[in-house]
Amino acid sequence: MPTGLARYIARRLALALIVLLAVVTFTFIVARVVPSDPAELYVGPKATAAQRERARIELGLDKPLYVQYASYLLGLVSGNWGISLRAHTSVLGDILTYLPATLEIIILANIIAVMVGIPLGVYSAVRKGSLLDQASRLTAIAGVSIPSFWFALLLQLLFFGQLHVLPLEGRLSVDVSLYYPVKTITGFYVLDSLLTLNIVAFVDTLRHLLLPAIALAAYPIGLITRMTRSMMIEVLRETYIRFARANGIVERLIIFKHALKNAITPTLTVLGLSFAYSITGAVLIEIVFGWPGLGTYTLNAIIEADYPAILGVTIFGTMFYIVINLFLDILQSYLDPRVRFT
Amino acid sequence: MTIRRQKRRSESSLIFGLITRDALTMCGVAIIVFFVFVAVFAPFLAPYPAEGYGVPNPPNKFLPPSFAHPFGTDYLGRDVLSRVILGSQISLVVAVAVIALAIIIGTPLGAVAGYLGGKIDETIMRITDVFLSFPSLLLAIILLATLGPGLTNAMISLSLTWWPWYTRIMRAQAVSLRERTYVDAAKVIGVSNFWVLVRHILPNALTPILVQGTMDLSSAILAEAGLSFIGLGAQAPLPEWGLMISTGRIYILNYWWFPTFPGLAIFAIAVAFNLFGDGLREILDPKTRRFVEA
Amino acid sequence: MTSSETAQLLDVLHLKLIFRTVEGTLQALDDVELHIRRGEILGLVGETGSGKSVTALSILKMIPENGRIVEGQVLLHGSDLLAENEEELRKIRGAKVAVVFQDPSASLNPVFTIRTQMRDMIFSHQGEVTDLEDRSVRLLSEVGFQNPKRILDSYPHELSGGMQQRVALAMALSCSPELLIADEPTTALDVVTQAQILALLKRIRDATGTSILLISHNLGVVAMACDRVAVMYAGCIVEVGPTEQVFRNPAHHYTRGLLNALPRMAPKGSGLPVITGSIPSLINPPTGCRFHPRCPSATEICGRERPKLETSRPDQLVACYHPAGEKQ
Repeated sequence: MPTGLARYIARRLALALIVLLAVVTFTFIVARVVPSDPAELYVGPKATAAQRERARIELGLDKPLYVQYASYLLGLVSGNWGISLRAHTSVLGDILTYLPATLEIIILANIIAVMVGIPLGVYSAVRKGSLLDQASRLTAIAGVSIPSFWFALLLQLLFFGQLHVLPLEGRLSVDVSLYYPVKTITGFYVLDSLLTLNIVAFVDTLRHLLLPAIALAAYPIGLITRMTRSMMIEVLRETYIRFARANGIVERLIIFKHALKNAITPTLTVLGLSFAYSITGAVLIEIVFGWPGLGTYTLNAIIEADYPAILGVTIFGTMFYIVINLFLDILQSYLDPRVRFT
Repeated sequence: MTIRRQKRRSESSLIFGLITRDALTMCGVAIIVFFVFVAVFAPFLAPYPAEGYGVPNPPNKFLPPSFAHPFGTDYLGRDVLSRVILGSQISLVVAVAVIALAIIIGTPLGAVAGYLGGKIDETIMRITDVFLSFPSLLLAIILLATLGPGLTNAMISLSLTWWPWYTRIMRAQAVSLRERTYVDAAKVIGVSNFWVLVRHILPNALTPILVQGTMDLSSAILAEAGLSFIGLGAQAPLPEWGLMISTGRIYILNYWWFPTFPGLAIFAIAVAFNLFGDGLREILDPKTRRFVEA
Repeated sequence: MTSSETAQLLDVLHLKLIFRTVEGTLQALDDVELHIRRGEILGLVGETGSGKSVTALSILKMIPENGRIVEGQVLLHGSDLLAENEEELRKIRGAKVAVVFQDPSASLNPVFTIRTQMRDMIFSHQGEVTDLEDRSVRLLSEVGFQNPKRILDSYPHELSGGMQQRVALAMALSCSPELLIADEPTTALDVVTQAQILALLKRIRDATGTSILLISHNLGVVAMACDRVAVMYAGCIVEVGPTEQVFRNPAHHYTRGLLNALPRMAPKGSGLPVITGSIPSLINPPTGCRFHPRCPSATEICGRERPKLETSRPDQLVACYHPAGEKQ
C-alpha cells in the first residue's frame, strides 16, 4: 500500500464512526418528539386500552428514555432495527427489500452522469470559448436547475405519451412479470435476470430503468460537467503542463493523463454530493414512476408517522452517504498523494 | 519589472462592466428582474386573481391553452397562468427567507469558530459535520415529519439544513483573515474581540458568502418545490409551483399544460439564479482579474 | 547586418512580437537577433520585463493567447521553426530544443512519480523503449543523483528544490536535445544549490556538447557559467559578446550602467550608483534606440533611428551609435 495511505484510511474511518454515532443520537432525539402515539399506531384505531398498554410495554415505551436509547443502539449494531408500526415487519428487513430497486436507479444515473459529464467537461475546457463549450455550459446550468420530478414528467410525456418507445412506470411490464417473472436472488432485477438468463426480463428491466435514471442524472451531469470543466481549465494553466508541452509531450497524454488526473480529484468530491442528492432525489423520482423502492417506502412511513421506519431509513440513508464519502476520500488520497499528509 | 495595475476603478463600476460583458449573466439578471417584478405586482398581473388564490371554477375544468387562458385551466377549472403568477410570490419569498435565515444562523457561528479557534472551533465544526452528514432533503424530511407539514415549517426545516454550509465558509475566511496584520494592529490598540470580528473580519469575508448565497437561492427554490411535491411543504389550495406539479402529475398525459407551466417557472428562475451566481463568482474571483505588465 | 555567422545551431532573426492587452498593443520584442553556436553556453541577461523569457518561449513557439509573432524567423539548422505545424513543432520540442523553467517545484506534475513522468517524456519522442528503466537511472545519475532508483519512486513534493531542478534537467535532456533553454534555472534556489546547478550545466555541456541558452537577471550567475552573453533591454538585444570581455569592457551604456550598479565594497556614504529614469512603457516605446531617454551619451540620431547590432570590438556586437570607449 502506498505510503501513508493506511493511516489516512484509519483516521477517516474513526471520524466517520463518531459522526455516525452523533447522527443516530440526533435522529433518535428528533424522532422522539413525534407527537403521535406509537403504541396506538401499532395496534390500530380499533384496539382496546388494554391492547394498547400491552403494545406500549412490548415496544419498550414504558422504560426511561436513556434505556430506550441504549437498547436502540444495541439493536442497531446487532441487526434489530425495530418493527415497522404499520406493517409489523422488521424495519431492517424492509429496507433491504426495497433497497435494490432504488440502488439500480441511483447507480445507473451516476454512471450516466460520469460518462456524459467528464468527457463534456474535458472537451469544453480544451475548446474553451467554442460553440461546444457554450453548449456544455448551458447543459450544465440546465442540469442543476431543472426540478427532477418535472423533468421526469416531461420524459414520460415525450417518450411514453408521444413517441411510445419507453414504458410509463414500474420496474417491469405487467406481461413480463406474469410470463417471464424474475427470480429474486439479489433483488437487483438487472443482475437477477442476467443470472437466470432471462433475457426478455433483462431487456424489459433496462427499458424501465432508463427514464428514471435519466431524470435522476440531470443534476449530477450539471455538477460534474461544471466541476470538470473549471478544474481542467485551471490545471491546464499550471506550470507543469507548460513544462510538459514545452518539452514535446504528446497532447493526448497531456490532456487525458497529466491534466485530467489533477483535475479529477475535486470532481470526486462533487460525486459525493451527487450521491447525497441521488438519495433524496430518488424519493421524488420514485413517486413519478411508481417505483417500489426505498423512496416510496420512506414516503409512506412519513404519511403514517411510522417512526421506527422513518428512523431506520434516515439512519440508513445517512450511513450510506457517510460510507460513500469515506470511499471517495480514500480514492482521492490514493490519486493525489499530497492529500494523505493533511 | 514594474507591474502597473489597471487603474483601480471603483468595485461597483468594475462589476457592472464585467456583468454586462457576459451575455449569459445578463440573461440571468434580466429573468430575475422579470420574476421579481411579477412577484411584486402579482395580484394586479394575474388575470383571474380569485382563482389564483384557490377559488375553484368547475365548469372550466381542463381547458387547453387559449387566448382567454394562455396556460389553460387545472382540474378545478382555475386559470393556471394566474396561479403561476401568484406562485412567484411564494417561491421568491421562501427562497430568500430560507437562505437569509441560514446565513444569519451560520455566519456568526463560523466567524466565532474561525476567529477564536481551539475548543470552541472544534465543537462547532463537529456539529456542522453531523449536520452535513445528512443527505440534505432527508434531514428536512425528518424535521418536517416531526414538526408537521406546512410552508412555514418547510422554511424552518430547510434553513436548519442549510446553515452549516455558511458556517464552514465563514470559518475558513475567519481563519485566513485573523492572521492579517490589520487584525493584529486592531488588537494592539485594544479593540475587543467582538469589534474585531464585526468591523474587520466580517466585511472582508462577505464575498464568498454572497456568491454562495446567490447560487443557493436556486437550490432553495428546487428544494422547497420538492418538499411541496411530496406533500410536506405548501398545502392546498396555495398556488405553490411544486404543489401544482404534484396535483397535476396524474394528468400529464391528457392535460399536459397544468403540471408543465409551473415546472417551467421553477426551471426558469432556477436557471436565472444560477447564471447570475456563476457570473458573480467569475467576476469576484481574484484569479480572473487581469493585470497589465509593463 | 551582423558579421557572417555560418554553421550556427540556432538563429533568431528579426523577431518581432506583440501582445494585445486591455490598455493597448504591447511591443514586447523588436527586431531581436540572436545566434547560438554549437556547444556554447550563451547567457541572456536583462531586467524583469526586458523580454528574455518571452524570447525563449518564442523559440519554442509557445507564446500566450494574446501574443502574436508579427515577423521574424527562428532557424534551427537553417529551417524556420516558426513555419512548422503543431505536430512537427511538438516533435522538435524536447527532442531538439528542450526547456527548464524557473520554479522546479511547479514544473513537475504532483500526482505522478518521477518514473512515470520520465517515461512519458521518452515515450513522446521515441515510443516504447525496452531499456526504459536503465535509461532513466542513467539520466538521473548523470545529473548527480547517488540513488536514482529511490528518486524514480518518489513524488515531486518529496524532493528538495535543488533535487527537483535536477530531475527537471534530467527530463529535459532525456532525448538528447541539441539546445537546452534554461529560463532562470537557479533563481528559486539558494546560493549553494545555485552553484551546484550551474556546475552541472557546464558538466552537461562538456559531456554531450549540448548548447545552453541560460536566461537570468543575475549578472553573477551569467558570469559564472556563460561563454558569451547577450544583453537585453526593453525588448531589444543591445550587446553581445564573450562574457568576460563584455563585463570588463561594456560597449553599450545600459550594460555599463548595469555593471556600475553592482554593489561593491566602497567607502561609506558613497551611495549606490543608479541608472536614471525607469523602464519605458512597451505600449508606447521610445522612438529610435529604446534606451536613449536614459542614456548619458544620447544624441539626436539616437532618438530618430534604431541602431542595429554592429561589431564594435573583436567578436563583440553592440547596438549603439556611440559605443563606450575601451577601458584601459
